[in-house]
Amino acid sequence: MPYNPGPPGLGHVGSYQGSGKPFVSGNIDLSSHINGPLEITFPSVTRWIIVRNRGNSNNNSKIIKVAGSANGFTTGEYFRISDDYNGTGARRNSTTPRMELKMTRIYLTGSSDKVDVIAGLTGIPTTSIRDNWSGSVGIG
Amino acid sequence: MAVYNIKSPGLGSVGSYQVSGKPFLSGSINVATATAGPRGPLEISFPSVTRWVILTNHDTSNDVDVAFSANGFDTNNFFTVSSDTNDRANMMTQRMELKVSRLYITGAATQVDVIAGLTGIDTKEIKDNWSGSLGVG
Repeated sequence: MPYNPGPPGLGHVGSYQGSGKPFVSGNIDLSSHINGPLEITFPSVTRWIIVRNRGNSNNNSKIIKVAGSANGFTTGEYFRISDDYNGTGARRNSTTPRMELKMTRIYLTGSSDKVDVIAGLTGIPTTSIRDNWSGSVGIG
Repeated sequence: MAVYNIKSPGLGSVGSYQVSGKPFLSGSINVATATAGPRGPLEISFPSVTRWVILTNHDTSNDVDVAFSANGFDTNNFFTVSSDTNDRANMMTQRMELKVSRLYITGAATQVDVIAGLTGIDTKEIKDNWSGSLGVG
């Protein structure tokens, strides 16, 4: 009988030590998503995620919020990314660092018309994370 | 008599990503000229699989779009590196730890730099640079 190791599991260290397979969802206009947060679904578990807000305003009105579950926006379990220009220069919080997080989805809301999501993917199937950690403390 | 033949590392060779990369630099790229008319997006081909990639846009008025397949520009599987106007934070990417063999850029920017750290993994290990995958286009 042939040996079939199957796909790697969530704790497979090597999957996080190698570089990721690219995932890009760009030029997202969040201002057009008025019926709740936008869900970005990854095809496999992420190794890392970067979210960039390229919207511009003088008063940071195009700030966005990012959460790991839709419920996180109502429970305060989210973070914010400022827009990219305040009239005189850049806001330093308009892009995240490379967040080394294992996730299957993220949720975005806000009024920015220019948002990019870039991720490095592992080969770990999304079924390895039940409901994208929803219900956990810090996710909501 | 058996001969031990060391082959090049495969795509899943973890050690290839743990050591620092061999440098790849392509600077002052005039994307506007390279993509003018019917030419389409400019393809940057790496000599081996990347460990990481950084892009910087020094153009003071024009953005540059970046994808991992030419098709990605039509499917919103691209991101934009802002112009360097007013020191925008998004005029430079993070160090994106991605294993790719090519990237594609388009736009009116005239001063774009691509910096990459390379592994020793052969580009043939990635079929068509992931084109057709969700998130690549």
